[in-house]
Amino acid sequence: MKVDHQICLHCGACVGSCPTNSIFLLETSVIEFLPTCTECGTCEIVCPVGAIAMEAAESFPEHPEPTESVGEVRL
Amino acid sequence: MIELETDVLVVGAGPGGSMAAKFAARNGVRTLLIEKRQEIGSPVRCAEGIATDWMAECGVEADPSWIACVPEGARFFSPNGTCAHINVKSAGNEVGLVLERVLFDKALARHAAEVGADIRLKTYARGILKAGGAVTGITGKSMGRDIAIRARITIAADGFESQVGRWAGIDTSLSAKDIIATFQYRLCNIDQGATCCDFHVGSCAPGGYIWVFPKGGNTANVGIGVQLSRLRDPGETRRYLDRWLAGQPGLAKGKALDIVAGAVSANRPLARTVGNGIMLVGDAARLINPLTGGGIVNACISGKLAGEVAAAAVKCGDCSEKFLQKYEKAWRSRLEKELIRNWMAKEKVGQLDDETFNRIVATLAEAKPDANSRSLLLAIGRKHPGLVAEFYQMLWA
Repeated sequence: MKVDHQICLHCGACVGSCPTNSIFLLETSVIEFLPTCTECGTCEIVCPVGAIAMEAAESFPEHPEPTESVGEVRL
Repeated sequence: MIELETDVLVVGAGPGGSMAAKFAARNGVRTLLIEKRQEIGSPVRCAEGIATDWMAECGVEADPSWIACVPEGARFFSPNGTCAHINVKSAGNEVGLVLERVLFDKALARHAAEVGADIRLKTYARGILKAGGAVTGITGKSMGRDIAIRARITIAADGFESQVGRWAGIDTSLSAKDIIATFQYRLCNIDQGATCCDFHVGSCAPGGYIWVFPKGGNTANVGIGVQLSRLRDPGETRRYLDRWLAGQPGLAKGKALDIVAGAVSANRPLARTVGNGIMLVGDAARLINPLTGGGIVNACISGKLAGEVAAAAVKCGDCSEKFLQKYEKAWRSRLEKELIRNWMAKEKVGQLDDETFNRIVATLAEAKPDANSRSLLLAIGRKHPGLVAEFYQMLWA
C-alpha cells in the first residue's frame, strides 16, 4: 500500500479499520505498513481523503519534482 | 533507552485517557499519562457537539473557556428539505454544547495533573511488555528515544486506532458495516439560518448523516459520516460532502478554516475489554455511540470507571483480569443497554430509503417530541409502528 503524504491528514481512520492491525501512524509524519498487511484494501476505501492506494509508487511519487522553481527571484 | 516504572500507565491523552489518569491518581496510585502528539487536543478529530447530562457524574464542570457555542436546539432535515426542529430547552436542562476540543482536552489533562498524574508528550507505544500472561507496560519512543514503561496496569485510551488492546490480544476489530468514515470542514462565512445542531439524513450520507454544528460567529463544523460498507472508491467520503455542500446556498459560500478526517466505530459492544494488567476505555474499547458517532461522553464515563478500578487493583495488589472485570461490569451496567439499543437503531436507520426519511422527518416536525431517543422513537412509532417494532420491548422495558 502507498500513502500520498501530501494528501494524508494523519487521521488514523486506516489504522483503526485495518483488520490485521498492520498500520502505524507516527504522530503526524509517516504511516508504516507492517509485513502482516494482506492488501485487503480496507484502508484504501476508508481513507476519507483518498490518500492510500494499492498501486505502486508511480501514482504517488514520494518526492515529486517541483513544477516551478521555488525561491527563484525574477527581476 | 529510557526506563520508567509506574503503577498505572494510560496510553493516550484524549478525554478517556485523561479521565482515567485523573481517577487513578486521585485514588492515590502513581499514574503516568502518555500522549503521542506534541500538543494535547490538537489536531482536532471531532464534530465537537456534546450532551451535558453526564458532567456531574464525571466531576466535570462546564467552563466557558472550552465552550464554543450553546445551540438553541437540534434540527433534522429530510432528503426533500423538510425540517423538524427539536427544541432542546423545552425538555428541561438537557441543552447540548459545541466544544472547543483543543481546550477541552487540555482542561481534562490538567485536572489529571492537578491530582498528581504525570504527563509525557510526544511519547507513543509501539508494542506491549508481557510477563506471565499479563501486560506489564509498553515499549515505544519518547522524543525520539526508545522507551520502556513498566506498569502494573496499562489503560489503553488510544482512540479509534485501538492498537494497544489488539497487541494484548483483545479483539477490537470491526466489520465494514460498523465503521463510519468521516470528513469535516470548519466553515466560516456561512449562514446556517439558526444556532442549532443540524442533522441531514438520507442518501446524501449513506449509513450515516451530515452534521452542521455551530461554532459561533458564522462558523460551523460541517461534516459527514458514511458507512464503510457503502463506500466504493478512495476519497468518496469527502466527495459526498462536497457534492452536498454545493447544493446548500447558506453553506456553499463558506470557506474552510480547518479540515478534519477520521473514522468512528458503530458496533455492538465488544465481548471483552479487559485482560491481565490491561483495560480499554473510550473509542479504544469501541464505546462510541453507534447511532450518533459521539464518543466523548462514553470515553469520560468509562475512563473514570477504569481509573477507579485501576487504583483499587493496585492497592489490593491484584491486577488480574478477574479483578479488572469490576471495570467491565461497571461500564456494562452503565452503558451497555443504551449502546445495544443505539446499535439496533443504527442498523435500522441505515436501511431506510429517502422516501421513508421524508415521512419520518415530517412526523417529527408535526409531533415535536422531546430531545431524547425514547421520545423520538415513540413519536415515530405512533405514526409508523412498523419502523420501530423491534424497539418496542426496549422502549417500555
